[in-house]
Amino acid sequence: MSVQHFDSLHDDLIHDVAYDFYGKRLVTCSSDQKLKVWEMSPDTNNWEQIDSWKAHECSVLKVVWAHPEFGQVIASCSFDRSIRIWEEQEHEPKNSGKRWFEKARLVDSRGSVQDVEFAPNFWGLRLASIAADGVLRIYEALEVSNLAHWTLMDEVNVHLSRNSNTTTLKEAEGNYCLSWCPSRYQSPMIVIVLDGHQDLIHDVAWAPNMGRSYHLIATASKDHRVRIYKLLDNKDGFAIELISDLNHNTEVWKVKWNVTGTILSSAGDDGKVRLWKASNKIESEGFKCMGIVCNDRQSSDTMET
Amino acid sequence: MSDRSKTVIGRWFTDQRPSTPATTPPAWPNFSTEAGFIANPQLTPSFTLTNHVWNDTTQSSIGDSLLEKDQNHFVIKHCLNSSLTSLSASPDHNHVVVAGREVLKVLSVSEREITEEISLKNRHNKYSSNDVKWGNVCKFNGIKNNCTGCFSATKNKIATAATNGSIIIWDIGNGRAKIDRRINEHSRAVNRICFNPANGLILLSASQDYTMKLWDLREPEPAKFTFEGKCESVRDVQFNSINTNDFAAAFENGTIQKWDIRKPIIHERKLNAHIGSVLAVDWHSDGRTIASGGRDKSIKIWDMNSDSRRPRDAIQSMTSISRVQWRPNHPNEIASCALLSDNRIFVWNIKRPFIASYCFEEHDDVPTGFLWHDSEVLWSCSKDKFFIQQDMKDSYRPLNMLSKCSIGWSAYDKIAFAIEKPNDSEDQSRSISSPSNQFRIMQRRISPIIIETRNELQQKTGIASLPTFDYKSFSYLAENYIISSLDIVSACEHNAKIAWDVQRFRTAQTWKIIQLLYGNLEPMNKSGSTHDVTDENLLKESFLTNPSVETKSLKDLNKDLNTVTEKPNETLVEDEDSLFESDGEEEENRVKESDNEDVQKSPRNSIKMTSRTVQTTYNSTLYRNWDKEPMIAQLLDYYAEQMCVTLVLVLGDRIKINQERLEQWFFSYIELLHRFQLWCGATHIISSSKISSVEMMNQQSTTIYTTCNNCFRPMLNYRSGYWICEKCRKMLNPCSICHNTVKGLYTWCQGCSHGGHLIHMQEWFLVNNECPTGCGHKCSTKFFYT
Repeated sequence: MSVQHFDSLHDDLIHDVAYDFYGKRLVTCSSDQKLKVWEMSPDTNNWEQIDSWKAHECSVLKVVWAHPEFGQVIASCSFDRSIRIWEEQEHEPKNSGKRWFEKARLVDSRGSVQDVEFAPNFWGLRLASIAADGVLRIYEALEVSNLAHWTLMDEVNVHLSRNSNTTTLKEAEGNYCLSWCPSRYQSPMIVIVLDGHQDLIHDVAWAPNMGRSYHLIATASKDHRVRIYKLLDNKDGFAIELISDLNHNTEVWKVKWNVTGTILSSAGDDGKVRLWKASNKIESEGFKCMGIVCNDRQSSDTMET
Repeated sequence: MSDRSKTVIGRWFTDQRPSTPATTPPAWPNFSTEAGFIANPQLTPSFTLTNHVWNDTTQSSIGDSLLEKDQNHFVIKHCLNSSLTSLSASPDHNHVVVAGREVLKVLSVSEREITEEISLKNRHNKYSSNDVKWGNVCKFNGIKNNCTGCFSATKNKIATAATNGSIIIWDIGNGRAKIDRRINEHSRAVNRICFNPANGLILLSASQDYTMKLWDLREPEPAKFTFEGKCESVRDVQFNSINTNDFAAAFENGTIQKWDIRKPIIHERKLNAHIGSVLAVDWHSDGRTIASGGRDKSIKIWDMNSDSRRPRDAIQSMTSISRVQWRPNHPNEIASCALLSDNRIFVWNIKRPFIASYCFEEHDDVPTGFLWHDSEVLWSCSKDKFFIQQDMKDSYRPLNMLSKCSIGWSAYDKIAFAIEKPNDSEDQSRSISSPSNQFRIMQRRISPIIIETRNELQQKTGIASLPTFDYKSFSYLAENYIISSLDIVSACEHNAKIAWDVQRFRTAQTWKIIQLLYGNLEPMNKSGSTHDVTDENLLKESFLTNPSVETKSLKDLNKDLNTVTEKPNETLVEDEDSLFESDGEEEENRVKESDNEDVQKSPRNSIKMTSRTVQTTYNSTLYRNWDKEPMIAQLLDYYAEQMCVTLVLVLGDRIKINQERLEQWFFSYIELLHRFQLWCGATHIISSSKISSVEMMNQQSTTIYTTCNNCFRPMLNYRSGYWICEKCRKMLNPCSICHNTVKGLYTWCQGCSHGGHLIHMQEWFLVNNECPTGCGHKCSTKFFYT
């Protein structure tokens, strides 16, 4: 198990990293309002920056790649209440700051856009977003070759109205995240986590299905727990069962599954990435910690297994 | 009510007296009159008690809930029936004057409540106020002799700047409002006014008519000085609080200027500060630093003593900045509010320019003005008609809403992560400076700038490679597996070998078992002519001819299996691998000898390999047509999609699996192959699958967009019918040799995009290897062959 460092050279906190479909490219987004795209150089085996550009006017919270059948397309969302769609311009030189062109700017939100995710590619070029104003918005590029035009397909108010008469929503009160169901045998589905002030959920991830007979959804919570839910498809909906309640020891901010949905990773305030793997008897034992990546004080990463 | 007001005000006096500068004792006697008219509200006809909005307590329980409020909330809101444009605090910070379109009121503000005292608006003033400023005491004497003794100056006066260009000085001295003076010297709207911080009799204005004017209110009109900025409209002016002869002005065209009132001819310094107009300037209490905010959504910090023409720091916000103000006693913190569309007031630390340190979100519309009551309490007014007093404790920290860590998974089971160092860095990263100062101190004049080093990021990024996924063996298997179902025996044999090659011993053994299970059902002649045939036949024969031996040994085996499976999984794998490796080489030889014992041994190994899947079924006696389905089902459960898909393809319709599940395997496997860019393998899988929805993947309309080979413009426009490029008006893709349009087969070089008739190209590249158009591209070695 090896850890390779790479210096992102961002001027502030990085809030998201995302590999592309092939695992050959990496995009990072940061509070310094920039996006950076990296590519593994086959010669040196190092990550080299392809381009870095100012993408937003506020902290960039999340960044996602579209499926490569739609081209090299990135969507990013930010505190500045916008979602922006970027497409690579291959004729522009690398690191020119122009290689990723802003194709569209989706500004319907009245609060910071907290989560954004492309739907599985078989639903088309579709994008779900949720913002602090409590509205889930689903956009679709109906003409895949024209990324400048995104149709707002759906707008669902998921805001739990505590005080329903207030027209304005406080930014600090909205806390949402979402994840698409990756299965093509269900109708398109999204899991959305609404804010609960008791134990705030910071992130949610729907596991890739890979032919399993059940679904898995993981959440990262403020109360230090990583929870994994199992969804069994009944005829009249899902039977939901909490199969693992894992302790991350500190506030957990992110959960992500690997490509095959067999390993879950969680990251939190303790500066550690924990890896959780399903034990063989998933019903009785659930998930177990299989390793920890940590950034310790000597600034060398170690891996415990 | 009046009694309570009195006690509150009284408490403020005792609180405030020690912290007020000792140079202003003559200011105090006047307070008694103010307190007086509060105590006797009947004397002021405009006095109202309505519209008190308390955040979480009722008025009746103020005293009881005071402690609770101390811990939780300090927000006090007051509604004023009209949208507000600006506010100004009295010199003693007990009162505030708020101005709006239809309102101009003096409010008394205490820690616990806000009461309206005087309404200044009357019929004389039909224009709304752009700005309001409370006058100031005259703090220094001796410099101007005639100023001596004039301490109260404009302490009881309020100046308003109207949209029609007039400035009105109100006198509220005796609890009664009257217009003291009306100045009509500006030809257009006055945007901002400012009293000199040292001498309240000096008033400066910034107007839309491109000028700034300065009055000494003791002297009659006209203005003492007129400053010509020569830079379009003046949006803001402010005196330097240290060097009170200096003032800064902000201009519509993006410049800021520094002036000295003793040199009214020309500005001392001019900076091109912003793109678009500058809307606000604020002097730092160190007297040398200016913050400016503009329509270009940025706040910039300028050192006026340095020669640099670049800002010392810059903060990029998401909205145009309409007001900025340094936070008292926190030399690196500055508050700002937006011109449009953002209801929040942010407090920034200039050393952390991307994430605001604090954020107030109490207003329901855009704040139009705010000021620091002290370093912990902020007063603000807004278009939503509210005046709000709020404490730093009422704000939230945007940083706390942001994750400090992130993870990304690649298809190769590599994790890219950015995580922050734990705990010890907490103070630096989470909270740049904690609001530790619980004691409220009135604004001190001088607080030197502490130049802090830029907040050092504790976040580290890296990529961890997990050994959980072996890409090399995956791709090797994907490329080399036989997926035809025609000849199971040889296919299984081959696949077992392939798996063996990449040291997937368990998988190899599974293939062997499959071979045993399904191969022997096939007619002998179907096993083809591979070299394995002899072995297989022998195996089968022994299998068939010695059932009793087999069963016996297998029963023994079951005992072994039970013991083995009790061990943890990891050790099991090791066991198996080592077992297999030691026996592996001998296997072939022994099988060839067709010795009974050895035959037993070989399947015994394989059974052990897949012990978990096999153990249940082997309890039953071995028959030729025993039920293999449950075992296969378990086997399929155990393996990942690669094995499942290959198995299904090899076995064809010999096994029955739920269609949906089957499709999911195929789609998952194909997606994985795509991820690893194993296109050929994926296509092979797609075309061999018998599932219509999978086969569809290769039958969907595939569009290849072409570009003009002259200007590289994509050919999307159908109007010209692909004959002529829309942009460069040249014929599309003619033959490079004969210059005619190619009808039929067009052959072109992928490198330079030139081509033509196949026959011409063949002729040309027989002798040449460069492009026939003369573009210099060496096409032939790679792309053309004859």
